[in-house]
Amino acid sequence: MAEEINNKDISNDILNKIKCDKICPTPKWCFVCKNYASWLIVFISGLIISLSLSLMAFLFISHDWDIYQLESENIARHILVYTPYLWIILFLLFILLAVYNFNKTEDGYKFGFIRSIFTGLLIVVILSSFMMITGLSSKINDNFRQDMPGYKVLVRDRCDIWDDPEKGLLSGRVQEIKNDEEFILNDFKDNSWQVRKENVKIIPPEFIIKEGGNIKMIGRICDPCPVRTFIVNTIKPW
Amino acid sequence: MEENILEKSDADLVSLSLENSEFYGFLIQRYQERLKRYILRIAGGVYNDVDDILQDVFIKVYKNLNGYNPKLKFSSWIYRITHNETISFLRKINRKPTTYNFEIDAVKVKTIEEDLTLDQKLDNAKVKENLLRIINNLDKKYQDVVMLRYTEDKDYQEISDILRKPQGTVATLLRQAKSQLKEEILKNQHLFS
Repeated sequence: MAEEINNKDISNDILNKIKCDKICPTPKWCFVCKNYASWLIVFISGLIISLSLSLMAFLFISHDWDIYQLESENIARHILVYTPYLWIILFLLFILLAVYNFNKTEDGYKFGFIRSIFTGLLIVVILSSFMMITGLSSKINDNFRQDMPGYKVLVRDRCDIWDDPEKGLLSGRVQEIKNDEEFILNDFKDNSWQVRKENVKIIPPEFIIKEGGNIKMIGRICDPCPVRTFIVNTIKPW
Repeated sequence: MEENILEKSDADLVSLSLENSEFYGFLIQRYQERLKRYILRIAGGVYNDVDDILQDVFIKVYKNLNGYNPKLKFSSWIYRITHNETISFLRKINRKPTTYNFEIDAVKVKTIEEDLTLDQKLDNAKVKENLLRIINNLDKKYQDVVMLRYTEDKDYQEISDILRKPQGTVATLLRQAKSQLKEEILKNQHLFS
């Protein structure tokens, strides 16, 4: 190969090109910003990954798996309907974004793949556990349900299970206790229900129904009844 | 003055080039030959385009001088840019480097002997030729690291910085490459005695 290499000095050509084309070095701050931007994206992605994981865990744990047969014909259909696809997609998407940007940081390549994944996973698990324990994931889920259009369709949770009086499932806030047998309940869509107890089983037995408390019930719609009435046989705290 | 400049480190020349582009000429002179050879090795002999690639490399390096991190060796940084520019060039002309172009004179036989802890010497011409054949037939995944280690004489840290791969990965690739190399040499003992 040696004889085929032309060893002419190209330094003058390059310096001339630099002068003629008025080429200037990119300012330092551009590189600093680029590096910080990559770290910022990694950091934000980490937060979103943790949030997604904590919401997935929250939705899974708070789900009433024992009453799926009242809601769906089979467990497979029930799982398909209640899988939080939005959070799963965001979780995976932001993992890719975090990995991509982590590799783009100045020193990202120095950490091995296993080490980066293990450290990242550890941070995400700690953060998402913190979000779960402090009730942040539940609050965020509630806020999204309230304020984000379409969220309820994309992410179905136990509110949807317990909002099906035709199938015998109803939940909401106790408005007024009329007597030992009857109380008024406002469901989470703000409809008022007259609730009548019938051989009622309270789970756990020590649970006391109070005005202002949230509950979930299994029973049936009273038909025909003059006002919207639900005959309840099982009451559980929300 | 020129003598004085030639004694300056790469990092000093980078600082001086940022103040006055004339100093950049000294960096070009310092690296042009080895980078040209490196391009020819990894691009499998693009003789007609090597000067264009090299020019693009030096212009890119100049534009990015402020992005040079003095924690790295300047040579690692400029090799990284050269590597990436060459691969981009090959992609642009829709060509993949199938095998790298190792040359007999460039292979650092001494480093191979040390790395492989071989009993025999690999320093006669015929033996070197056979060694080159084996190196050229190594798996493609080892060629980047083998090239940098045995022709550019880079250490693990430098290879890691050039290829932007963790040092552990570089060590693993080199270990596997060395083991393949040693196995081939032992299998073909008659060619190396």
